[in-house]
Amino acid sequence: MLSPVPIGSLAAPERHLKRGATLKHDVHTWQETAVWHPEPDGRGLFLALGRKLNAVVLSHDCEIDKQKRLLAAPVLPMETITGDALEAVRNGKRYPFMPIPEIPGVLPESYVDLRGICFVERKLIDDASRLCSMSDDGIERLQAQLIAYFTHIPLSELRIPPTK
Amino acid sequence: MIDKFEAYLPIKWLEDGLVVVFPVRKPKAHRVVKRPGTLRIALSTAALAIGVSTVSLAAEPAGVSNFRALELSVAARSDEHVVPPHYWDNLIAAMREAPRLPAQTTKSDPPAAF
Repeated sequence: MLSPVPIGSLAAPERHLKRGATLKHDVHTWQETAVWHPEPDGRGLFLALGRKLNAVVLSHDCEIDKQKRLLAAPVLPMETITGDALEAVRNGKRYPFMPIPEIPGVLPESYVDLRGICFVERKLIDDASRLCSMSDDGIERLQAQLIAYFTHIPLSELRIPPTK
Repeated sequence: MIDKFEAYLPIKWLEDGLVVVFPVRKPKAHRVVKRPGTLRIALSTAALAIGVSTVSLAAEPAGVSNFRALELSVAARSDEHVVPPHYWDNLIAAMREAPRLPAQTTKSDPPAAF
Protein backbone atom coordinates (compact mmCIF):
# COMPACT_ATOMS: atom_id res chain seq x y z
CA MET A 1 0.00 0.00 0.00
CA LEU A 2 1.54 3.26 -1.15
CA SER A 3 0.79 6.93 -0.59
CA PRO A 4 0.40 9.26 -2.29
CA VAL A 5 0.20 7.89 -5.81
CA PRO A 6 -1.17 9.87 -8.78
CA ILE A 7 -4.00 7.77 -10.17
CA GLY A 8 -5.92 9.00 -13.16
CA SER A 9 -6.68 8.82 -16.82
CA LEU A 10 -7.34 10.89 -19.89
CA ALA A 11 -10.44 12.98 -19.41
CA ALA A 12 -13.03 13.63 -22.09
CA PRO A 13 -13.04 15.74 -24.14
CA GLU A 14 -9.44 15.11 -25.17
CA ARG A 15 -7.16 18.06 -24.58
CA HIS A 16 -3.74 17.80 -26.15
CA LEU A 17 -0.62 19.71 -25.32
CA LYS A 18 1.79 21.18 -27.83
CA ARG A 19 5.34 22.02 -26.88
CA GLY A 20 5.86 25.76 -26.47
CA ALA A 21 8.83 27.93 -25.73
CA THR A 22 11.52 26.86 -23.30
CA LEU A 23 12.00 29.43 -20.57
CA LYS A 24 14.92 30.13 -18.29
CA HIS A 25 16.29 27.28 -16.21
CA ASP A 26 15.14 24.81 -18.85
CA VAL A 27 11.48 25.24 -17.92
CA HIS A 28 9.23 23.88 -20.67
CA THR A 29 5.90 25.42 -21.53
CA TRP A 30 2.93 23.64 -23.07
CA GLN A 31 0.03 25.01 -25.01
CA GLU A 32 -3.39 23.38 -24.92
CA THR A 33 -4.61 22.48 -28.38
CA ALA A 34 -7.38 20.50 -29.99
CA VAL A 35 -4.94 18.96 -32.47
CA TRP A 36 -2.75 15.98 -31.61
CA HIS A 37 0.93 16.92 -31.78
CA PRO A 38 2.99 13.80 -31.12
CA GLU A 39 6.72 13.87 -30.65
CA PRO A 40 8.88 12.17 -33.32
CA ASP A 41 8.60 8.86 -31.46
CA GLY A 42 4.82 8.95 -31.77
CA ARG A 43 4.14 9.77 -28.15
CA GLY A 44 2.54 12.98 -27.06
CA LEU A 45 1.12 14.75 -24.07
CA PHE A 46 -2.47 15.29 -23.09
CA LEU A 47 -4.28 16.40 -19.98
CA ALA A 48 -5.28 13.73 -17.52
CA LEU A 49 -7.70 13.87 -14.65
CA GLY A 50 -7.05 12.10 -11.40
CA ARG A 51 -6.18 12.24 -7.75
CA LYS A 52 -3.18 11.65 -5.56
CA LEU A 53 -4.26 9.07 -3.05
CA ASN A 54 -3.46 5.79 -1.42
CA ALA A 55 -3.04 2.95 -3.88
CA VAL A 56 -2.37 -0.75 -3.88
CA VAL A 57 0.05 -2.21 -6.41
CA LEU A 58 -1.56 -5.05 -8.35
CA SER A 59 1.40 -6.14 -10.43
CA HIS A 60 2.83 -9.48 -9.38
CA ASP A 61 5.94 -9.50 -7.22
CA CYS A 62 7.89 -11.06 -10.08
CA GLU A 63 7.00 -8.12 -12.32
CA ILE A 64 7.60 -5.31 -9.86
CA ASP A 65 11.38 -5.31 -10.10
CA LYS A 66 11.41 -5.73 -13.88
CA GLN A 67 8.79 -3.37 -15.21
CA LYS A 68 8.90 0.38 -15.74
CA ARG A 69 5.15 0.60 -15.29
CA LEU A 70 3.09 -1.06 -12.61
CA LEU A 71 -0.62 -1.58 -12.30
CA ALA A 72 -2.23 0.10 -9.32
CA ALA A 73 -5.73 0.56 -7.95
CA PRO A 74 -6.95 3.45 -5.80
CA VAL A 75 -7.67 2.87 -2.12
CA LEU A 76 -10.41 5.13 -0.80
CA PRO A 77 -11.59 5.81 2.72
CA MET A 78 -14.81 4.00 3.62
CA GLU A 79 -16.10 7.15 5.32
CA THR A 80 -16.78 8.74 1.94
CA ILE A 81 -19.67 6.38 1.23
CA THR A 82 -22.94 5.81 3.03
CA GLY A 83 -26.16 3.82 2.95
CA ASP A 84 -26.52 0.80 0.68
CA ALA A 85 -23.12 1.39 -0.90
CA LEU A 86 -21.40 1.30 2.48
CA GLU A 87 -23.18 -1.88 3.47
CA ALA A 88 -22.34 -3.60 0.18
CA VAL A 89 -18.69 -2.53 0.09
CA ARG A 90 -17.96 -3.14 3.76
CA ASN A 91 -19.35 -6.67 3.54
CA GLY A 92 -17.57 -7.50 0.29
CA LYS A 93 -20.77 -7.97 -1.69
CA ARG A 94 -19.70 -6.15 -4.83
CA TYR A 95 -17.00 -7.50 -7.13
CA PRO A 96 -15.23 -4.18 -7.90
CA PHE A 97 -14.64 -3.24 -4.26
CA MET A 98 -12.43 -4.99 -1.73
CA PRO A 99 -12.83 -3.81 1.88
CA ILE A 100 -9.71 -3.17 3.92
CA PRO A 101 -9.92 -2.96 7.72
CA GLU A 102 -8.63 0.03 9.64
CA ILE A 103 -4.96 -0.11 10.55
CA PRO A 104 -4.64 2.21 13.55
CA GLY A 105 -2.26 5.08 12.90
CA VAL A 106 -1.68 3.99 9.32
CA LEU A 107 -4.89 3.66 7.36
CA PRO A 108 -8.57 4.35 8.04
CA GLU A 109 -11.11 1.71 7.11
CA SER A 110 -10.88 1.73 3.30
CA TYR A 111 -11.69 -0.13 0.13
CA VAL A 112 -9.83 -0.93 -3.06
CA ASP A 113 -11.73 0.34 -6.09
CA LEU A 114 -10.90 -1.95 -9.01
CA ARG A 115 -12.81 0.31 -11.38
CA GLY A 116 -9.91 2.75 -11.16
CA ILE A 117 -7.06 0.42 -12.11
CA CYS A 118 -4.41 2.16 -14.16
CA PHE A 119 -0.70 1.90 -14.79
CA VAL A 120 1.70 4.14 -12.94
CA GLU A 121 5.26 4.94 -13.90
CA ARG A 122 7.75 3.08 -11.75
CA LYS A 123 9.44 6.33 -10.72
CA LEU A 124 6.19 7.59 -9.18
CA ILE A 125 5.75 4.32 -7.31
CA ASP A 126 9.30 4.56 -5.98
CA ASP A 127 8.68 8.13 -4.84
CA ALA A 128 5.59 7.20 -2.81
CA SER A 129 5.74 6.13 0.82
CA ARG A 130 5.04 2.53 1.65
CA LEU A 131 2.26 2.41 4.23
CA CYS A 132 1.97 -1.32 4.71
CA SER A 133 2.09 -4.62 2.86
CA MET A 134 -0.49 -7.32 2.43
CA SER A 135 -0.05 -10.66 4.12
CA ASP A 136 -0.26 -13.83 2.03
CA ASP A 137 -3.91 -14.11 3.02
CA GLY A 138 -4.52 -10.53 1.90
CA ILE A 139 -2.83 -11.15 -1.45
CA GLU A 140 -4.94 -14.25 -2.05
CA ARG A 141 -8.06 -12.31 -1.16
CA LEU A 142 -7.12 -9.57 -3.61
CA GLN A 143 -6.42 -12.11 -6.35
CA ALA A 144 -9.79 -13.74 -5.76
CA GLN A 145 -11.41 -10.30 -5.93
CA LEU A 146 -9.69 -9.55 -9.23
CA ILE A 147 -10.83 -12.84 -10.74
CA ALA A 148 -14.39 -12.30 -9.54
CA TYR A 149 -14.41 -8.77 -10.92
CA PHE A 150 -13.00 -9.62 -14.33
CA THR A 151 -14.53 -13.04 -14.92
CA HIS A 152 -17.46 -13.46 -12.48
CA ILE A 153 -16.02 -16.89 -11.74
CA PRO A 154 -15.73 -17.90 -8.08
CA LEU A 155 -12.12 -18.96 -7.59
CA SER A 156 -13.20 -21.76 -5.25
CA GLU A 157 -15.15 -23.38 -8.08
CA LEU A 158 -12.31 -23.37 -10.59
CA ARG A 159 -11.00 -26.90 -11.11
CA ILE A 160 -8.00 -26.94 -13.39
CA PRO A 161 -6.57 -30.37 -14.29
CA PRO A 162 -2.80 -30.64 -13.75
CA THR A 163 -0.70 -29.87 -16.81
CA LYS A 164 1.62 -32.69 -17.88
CA MET B 1 -15.42 -20.76 -33.44
CA ILE B 2 -13.08 -20.16 -30.53
CA ASP B 3 -12.35 -23.65 -29.29
CA LYS B 4 -8.69 -23.41 -28.32
CA PHE B 5 -6.49 -20.75 -26.80
CA GLU B 6 -4.68 -20.41 -30.10
CA ALA B 7 -7.93 -19.03 -31.43
CA TYR B 8 -7.44 -16.03 -29.19
CA LEU B 9 -4.13 -15.10 -30.80
CA PRO B 10 -4.35 -12.01 -32.99
CA ILE B 11 -3.22 -13.95 -36.03
CA LYS B 12 -6.27 -16.21 -35.71
CA TRP B 13 -8.54 -13.24 -35.26
CA LEU B 14 -7.42 -12.02 -38.63
CA GLU B 15 -7.29 -15.37 -40.44
CA ASP B 16 -10.67 -16.55 -39.22
CA GLY B 17 -12.37 -13.23 -39.59
CA LEU B 18 -12.95 -12.87 -35.87
CA VAL B 19 -11.97 -9.23 -35.91
CA VAL B 20 -14.79 -6.78 -36.39
CA VAL B 21 -13.44 -3.66 -37.97
CA PHE B 22 -15.40 -0.58 -37.07
CA PRO B 23 -15.38 2.45 -39.31
CA VAL B 24 -13.10 5.22 -38.15
CA ARG B 25 -15.07 7.87 -36.30
CA LYS B 26 -13.98 11.37 -37.00
CA PRO B 27 -14.37 13.93 -34.21
CA LYS B 28 -17.16 16.37 -34.79
CA ALA B 29 -16.11 19.65 -36.26
CA HIS B 30 -16.51 22.44 -33.76
CA ARG B 31 -17.87 24.91 -36.29
CA VAL B 32 -19.02 24.59 -39.87
CA VAL B 33 -18.59 27.60 -42.10
CA LYS B 34 -20.84 27.49 -45.13
CA ARG B 35 -19.73 29.31 -48.22
CA PRO B 36 -19.75 28.77 -51.99
CA GLY B 37 -17.67 25.83 -53.08
CA THR B 38 -18.20 23.90 -49.88
CA LEU B 39 -19.70 20.95 -51.76
CA ARG B 40 -16.66 20.63 -53.99
CA ILE B 41 -14.35 20.72 -50.98
CA ALA B 42 -16.49 18.15 -49.20
CA LEU B 43 -16.36 15.82 -52.19
CA SER B 44 -12.61 16.21 -52.41
CA THR B 45 -12.30 15.42 -48.71
CA ALA B 46 -14.50 12.37 -49.13
CA ALA B 47 -12.40 11.17 -52.04
CA LEU B 48 -9.27 11.70 -49.98
CA ALA B 49 -10.79 9.79 -47.08
CA ILE B 50 -11.64 6.87 -49.36
CA GLY B 51 -8.10 6.95 -50.66
CA VAL B 52 -6.68 6.87 -47.15
CA SER B 53 -8.97 3.97 -46.22
CA THR B 54 -7.83 2.06 -49.25
CA VAL B 55 -4.21 2.65 -48.39
CA SER B 56 -4.83 1.44 -44.83
CA LEU B 57 -6.44 -1.76 -46.01
CA ALA B 58 -3.73 -2.35 -48.55
CA ALA B 59 -1.08 -1.96 -45.88
CA GLU B 60 -2.75 -4.42 -43.50
CA PRO B 61 -1.17 -7.68 -44.78
CA ALA B 62 2.25 -6.37 -43.76
CA GLY B 63 0.94 -5.87 -40.24
CA VAL B 64 -0.64 -9.31 -40.25
CA SER B 65 2.68 -10.96 -40.92
CA ASN B 66 4.12 -9.18 -37.90
CA PHE B 67 1.69 -10.96 -35.63
CA ARG B 68 3.47 -14.23 -36.39
CA ALA B 69 6.33 -12.93 -34.29
CA LEU B 70 4.06 -13.34 -31.28
CA GLU B 71 3.96 -17.10 -31.67
CA LEU B 72 6.23 -19.00 -29.33
CA SER B 73 9.22 -20.69 -30.84
CA VAL B 74 9.84 -24.39 -30.20
CA ALA B 75 12.60 -23.46 -27.77
CA ALA B 76 10.35 -21.07 -25.90
CA ARG B 77 7.63 -23.70 -25.57
CA SER B 78 9.97 -25.93 -23.61
CA ASP B 79 11.20 -23.10 -21.42
CA GLU B 80 9.97 -23.51 -17.87
CA HIS B 81 9.41 -19.78 -17.63
CA VAL B 82 6.56 -19.85 -20.09
CA VAL B 83 3.32 -21.69 -19.57
CA PRO B 84 3.51 -25.40 -20.38
CA PRO B 85 1.69 -26.90 -23.38
CA HIS B 86 -2.09 -27.08 -23.02
CA TYR B 87 -2.03 -24.77 -19.99
CA TRP B 88 -4.37 -22.27 -21.59
CA ASP B 89 -6.57 -24.96 -23.12
CA ASN B 90 -7.02 -26.55 -19.71
CA LEU B 91 -7.62 -23.24 -18.01
CA ILE B 92 -10.21 -22.11 -20.53
CA ALA B 93 -11.96 -25.49 -20.36
CA ALA B 94 -12.10 -25.19 -16.58
CA MET B 95 -13.41 -21.66 -16.81
CA ARG B 96 -16.16 -22.77 -19.17
CA GLU B 97 -17.28 -25.43 -16.75
CA ALA B 98 -17.14 -23.23 -13.68
CA PRO B 99 -20.37 -21.69 -12.46
CA ARG B 100 -20.71 -17.95 -12.72
CA LEU B 101 -21.28 -15.50 -9.92
CA PRO B 102 -24.60 -13.75 -10.21
CA ALA B 103 -24.83 -10.50 -12.10
CA GLN B 104 -24.93 -7.47 -9.83
CA THR B 105 -26.47 -4.06 -10.00
CA THR B 106 -24.30 -0.97 -9.97
CA LYS B 107 -27.19 1.14 -8.71
CA SER B 108 -25.80 1.90 -5.27
CA ASP B 109 -22.08 1.87 -6.09
CA PRO B 110 -19.96 4.66 -4.66
CA PRO B 111 -19.07 7.38 -7.16
CA ALA B 112 -15.82 7.05 -9.08
CA ALA B 113 -12.91 8.87 -7.47
CA PHE B 114 -11.95 10.59 -10.72
